[in-house]
Amino acid sequence: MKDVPVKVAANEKLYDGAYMLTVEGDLPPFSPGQFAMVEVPSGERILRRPFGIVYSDGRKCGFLYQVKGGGTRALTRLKSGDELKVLMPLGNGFPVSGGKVAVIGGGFGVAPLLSAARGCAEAGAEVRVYAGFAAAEKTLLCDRFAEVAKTTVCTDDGSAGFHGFPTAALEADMAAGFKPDVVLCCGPEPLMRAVKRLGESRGIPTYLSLERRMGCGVGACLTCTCRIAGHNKRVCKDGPVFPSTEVEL
Amino acid sequence: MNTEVTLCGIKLKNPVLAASGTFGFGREYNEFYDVGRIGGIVGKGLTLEPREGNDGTRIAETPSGMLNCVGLQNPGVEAFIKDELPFMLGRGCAAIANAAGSTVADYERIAERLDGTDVDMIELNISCPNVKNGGMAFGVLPKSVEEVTAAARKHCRKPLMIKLSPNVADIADNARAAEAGGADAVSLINTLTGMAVDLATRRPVLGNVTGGLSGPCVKPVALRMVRQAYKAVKIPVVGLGGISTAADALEFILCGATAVQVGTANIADPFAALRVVEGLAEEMEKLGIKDLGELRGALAD
Repeated sequence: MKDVPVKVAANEKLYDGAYMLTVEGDLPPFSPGQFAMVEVPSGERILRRPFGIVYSDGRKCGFLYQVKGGGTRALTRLKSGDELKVLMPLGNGFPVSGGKVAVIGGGFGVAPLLSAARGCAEAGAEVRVYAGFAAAEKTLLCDRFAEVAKTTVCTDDGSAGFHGFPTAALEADMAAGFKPDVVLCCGPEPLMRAVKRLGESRGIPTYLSLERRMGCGVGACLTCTCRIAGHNKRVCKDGPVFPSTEVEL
Repeated sequence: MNTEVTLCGIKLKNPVLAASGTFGFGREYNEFYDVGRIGGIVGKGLTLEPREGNDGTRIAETPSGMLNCVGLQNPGVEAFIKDELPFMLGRGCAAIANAAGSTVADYERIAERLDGTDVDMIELNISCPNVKNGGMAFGVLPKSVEEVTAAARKHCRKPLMIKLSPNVADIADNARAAEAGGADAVSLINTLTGMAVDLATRRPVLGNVTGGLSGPCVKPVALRMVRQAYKAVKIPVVGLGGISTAADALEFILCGATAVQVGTANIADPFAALRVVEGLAEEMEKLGIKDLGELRGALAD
């Protein structure tokens, strides 16, 4: 965990409201599914923004972000060469395992899953990725996922890939004989609820990466808590990844 | 350059304390730097029993600040004494416990319990805006400030600092009430009650509807109130509210603060409190002072 001074290498618009920020610096190693607190280049925005680490090779690191409000709007104005600070790596990350792994993401929730898919593939797992988006023009990171694992792109409107939710695509594969030993998921709550239900009904260990508004990102301020096994736990420090059986959705 | 100060008989190597609720019990920030380098740590607000805090969204950003409604989530005073206090005491800086309650009897019992430990000082939180019972209710009217202070005072011999709410008619009256109740110091300001709303959903952003506003945006209010409190009482005043640099800290000392607390800045930058400490000598040199006593209260108003 370091507060790293970095320079912006690229801040690329993927589609309206979706950006990939690439920064360069002396970056510490990270585990799949960990996140970073990224400084916002605006005098009046004091809080950093939590983003999943899409990839990092120790020199360059990528963050996928959605423009939601003033802070992320300010981030879109970052240009190549701009300096900022990035606190990373934070949180527990996904368990990396061999065997058969199903990775399910929805929308911007795919961000922390690329490293998880890669980590499991490198550990010798048979990894299948199910990535769901609203429509073809809203897909994210699909080429990168395809480089590391068999990837099923799913769209709500059927404009690309599988027509339907990624849980339906996984169920179809399971009916055809794919029996995952573990399920890893990040995405909107309706998707995570469906994945929790699916995994638990089949007795498959399932892990969910949660998202909350955060303050410090290091476990001190207690503003990002969620109900875990009956208690308020810190998403930033105790999570963001929790076993689905402990998550109340 | 002398940055040492004495607060209620406790020697602090510098006047910079970490504010309650922004620093846990020091463990998280000790992973970034030796937290013993700051003057002291005020731990997370404690209640007699463990508390889960509020449900729903607990934080919202505002221009130059933030709102929170954590609602005093804490492990309870017994778990604090067993699991957290030894860590705080081992850091080599002042260990201050922050105590909150729902009734006067709660404050008495928690003060009594903490009095039997090695904490250096007790900060009484009568100003939390995010709990339904107690909290700020005790901090609004001078009469109840005096009553709860006197009640806790009877049960503790340790230095007792009363954390004052800014959501009051006249801060000077409340500071005097704390002094009359037997306080050894007052700290101010706690957060200002505020709200954030979402136009699109027509709902409050925070789960608790209202929250406590903190950060650089509250600094002018805090400076004004620290000055008023300083003029109203003889006991030391500890200033907080929006401090993120050494210059900010010195502004509070100029207004009369003996020590200061850094709060929200820690949330924005894990090194914030240390940076305030490290910047003191340079700022003091710019001002041509060698001891903080030369500046304390010296505002020409």
